[in-house]
Amino acid sequence: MNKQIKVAIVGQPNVGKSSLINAMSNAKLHVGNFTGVTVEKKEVFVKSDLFDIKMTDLPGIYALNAYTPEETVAKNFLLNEQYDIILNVVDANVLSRNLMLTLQLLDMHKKMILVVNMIDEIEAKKGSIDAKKLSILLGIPVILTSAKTSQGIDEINKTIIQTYRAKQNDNKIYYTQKVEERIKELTKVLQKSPHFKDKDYARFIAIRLIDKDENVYKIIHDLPIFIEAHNVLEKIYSSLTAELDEDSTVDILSNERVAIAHNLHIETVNIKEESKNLNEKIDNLLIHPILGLPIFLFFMWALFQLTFVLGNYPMNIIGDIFTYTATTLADILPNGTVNSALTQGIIPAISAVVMFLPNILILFFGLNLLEQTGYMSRAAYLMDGFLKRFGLQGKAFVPLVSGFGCTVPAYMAARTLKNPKDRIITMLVLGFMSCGARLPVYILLIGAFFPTHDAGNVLFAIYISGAILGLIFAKILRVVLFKGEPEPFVMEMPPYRLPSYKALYMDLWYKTKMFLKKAGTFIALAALGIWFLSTYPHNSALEKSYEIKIQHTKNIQIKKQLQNELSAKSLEESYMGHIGKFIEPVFKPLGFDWRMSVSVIAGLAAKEVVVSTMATLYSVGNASNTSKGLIQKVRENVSFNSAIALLIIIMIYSPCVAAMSTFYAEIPQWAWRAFYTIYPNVVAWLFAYGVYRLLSAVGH
Amino acid sequence: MKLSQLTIGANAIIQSVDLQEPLKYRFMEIGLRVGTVVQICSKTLTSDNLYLKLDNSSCISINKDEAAHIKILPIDQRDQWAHYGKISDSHDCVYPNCIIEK
Ligand SMILES: Nc1nc2c(ncn2[C@@H]2O[C@H](COP(=O)(O)OP(=O)(O)OP(=O)(O)O)[C@@H](O)[C@H]2O)c(=O)[nH]1
Ligand SMILES: [Mg+2]
Repeated sequence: MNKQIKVAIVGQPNVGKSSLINAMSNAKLHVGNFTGVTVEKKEVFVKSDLFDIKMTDLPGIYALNAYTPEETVAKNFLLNEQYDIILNVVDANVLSRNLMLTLQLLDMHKKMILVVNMIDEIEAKKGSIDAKKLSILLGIPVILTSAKTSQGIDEINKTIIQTYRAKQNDNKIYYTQKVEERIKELTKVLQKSPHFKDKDYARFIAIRLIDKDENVYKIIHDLPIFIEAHNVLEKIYSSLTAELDEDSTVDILSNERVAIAHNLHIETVNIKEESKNLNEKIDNLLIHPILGLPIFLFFMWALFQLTFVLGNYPMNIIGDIFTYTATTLADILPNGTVNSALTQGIIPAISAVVMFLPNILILFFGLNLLEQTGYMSRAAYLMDGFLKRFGLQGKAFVPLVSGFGCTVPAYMAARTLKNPKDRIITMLVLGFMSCGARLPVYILLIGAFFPTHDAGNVLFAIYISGAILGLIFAKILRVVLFKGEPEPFVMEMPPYRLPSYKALYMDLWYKTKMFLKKAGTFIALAALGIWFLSTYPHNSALEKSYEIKIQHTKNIQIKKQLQNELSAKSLEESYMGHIGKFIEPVFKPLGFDWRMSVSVIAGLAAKEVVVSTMATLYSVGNASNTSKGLIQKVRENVSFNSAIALLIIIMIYSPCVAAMSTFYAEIPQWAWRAFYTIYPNVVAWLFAYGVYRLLSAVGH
Repeated sequence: MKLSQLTIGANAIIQSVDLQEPLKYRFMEIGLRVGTVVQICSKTLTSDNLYLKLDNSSCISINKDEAAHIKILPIDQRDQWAHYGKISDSHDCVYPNCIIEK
């Protein structure tokens, strides 16, 4: 077995860490042009002849003093986990700021490689970076790369292996004399403890303590050396700040690093002063004080129009293919269990889900563009003032919009919010942002009850209503349960970038694969279960009595009617029928029949299951028209008022089990878990009931 | 003068960032620190949020409330680059290899 080299990929946010790993391997890590895309560590393996390289992609961190929960993930990894090499990725466009972290990492005295990424953008500006000089000055290998053009990518592997084999060199950063004296003094004290016998490690801990690193302070707090170290540290805090006339030693160390970084920048970077570029011209329009928000809303509206209108064409074709398959199989296969399970259970269910794949992909395509171009941060900037009025902060915009795609990563994305109250409010209202899996239900119901030319607008209205409801609830939560102000907004605005077509394609392809896999496994199994429960037990007496009636009837119309009656009665007497009847009273006030009620409950597993269950139940209960489109069946079986109530339920009630378990994993408090589990369902029912009654009252 | 009072398009040098920890340090890490040249590119309609350009390269956004705690010295374009020289010249600290050479 090859030896393994463990590499930690560290860098400030949005410098292209995940993109680099994707370029080096066949990984498909999520990338996006805004800070905080990666919020959890991810491992990727790259094999070479002699070594296996295990790369750990970490969330971006601005400095070793972690600020937000996702930065803590990276910091904990750096401080507590085993790895051989730090691969520090920096953005060539903002080298001097990025080097601030590099200098802190150098304090760790580990084997390290500096990767200066986005070099293509520097070259496009006719600039250059002297990698050789930077390497000499820092005492570590420096590679210029572009994850976009793959420049320098091969060199990374080679350098990792060379660095692994080489001896650790003296790549320490030295501070000014007064600071160095204090570092040495504290290092000596720490070295008295068996934990810090290694001089370089003791020096690193000393620097972190002078830098007021709370995590490191906690490490020494429980050690016998604490009292002595603490006394020396206090002395250092007061003497250094007095001598250098600064408020805190954090400022002192930071100033020293700024100066070093500036000098490194001046020595190695050659960029002519930038002229007013395209970036600013686009910004002039997109973040325009008056036009900015309407433009954003227009883009969202256009996306939902496209989602419905464009998605409709392939949807019909896919639907036809499945219908043809089901009718052909129904004819070919002998009558019996397999025939019925396939043509009335599994195929209608899978069809009902897969036919909405094009719509879902269009939505994801739009969201991906939002993420990749750099518009996401601008939209967050535009929305901050507005969100603040509802007790949220602008950064929450990122998880909220991600929620239109999938709620699971959206919950994770809330880690970028520092303040726990902001985070929990955002997570509690995130469910109001309808995820892609709810789209099939909406399109199904809109298709059944609204004219095609209005469909895109209705879809947009549904999503916007969900978002507005979310904001109202955020306000209520902020006023009632989470008093206080949201965290101040501070966010980097990356330059606009053309989307990476490879990343876009990979993202959509990955989502398609996952969707089809889900349809072929989970949804097919669920459908089989629903079919079984709605087909058994057989009531032989009932079947016999109807068979006799059917045989004795000559009129085809009456025959069909009798067959339908038999199917409906059998369904009602099936296990599912009993379950449905048990649940029915809860949804009766909304005008739901038991099949809709069962579909809603089944949707708690995954939202796609709502349509697949409806497809199965309306197929099983409608023996003579298996081939009839689902939209048609819904139109025949569901009233307009109930359809609207169903839309509201789907829009508000609990997300799928995967999302719920992510919430439970992220929020440890049982009280919030319980609240989260109950309140969306109560709210969903009350809203749906209110609107149903209102519609009935106005005579709809 | 405070950053919140700076007009759109004008440049200034940050003189002090008088915010509570750890927000102050986050601002510093993201580039809002003493000596940085800052320009307001845009504001939202309500002026609650400022869109800033730092050292003529990276852009960030902050709230007006926090900008009110950042003291600035307005400059005109010509002085901007002289200021960089001052920072780099004044520092006597060196990189690891220079120490080794010493
Ligand atoms: N032009 C150019 N763009 C790049 C390069 N590398 C990454 N990008 C783009 O930069 C943005 C950020 O890339 P990511 O890989 O998500 O950055 P990250 O460092 O993993 O970001 P976080 O996970 O948020 O810390 C994306 O829009 C990428 O397409 C590069 O070398 N050149
Ligand atoms: Mg990443």
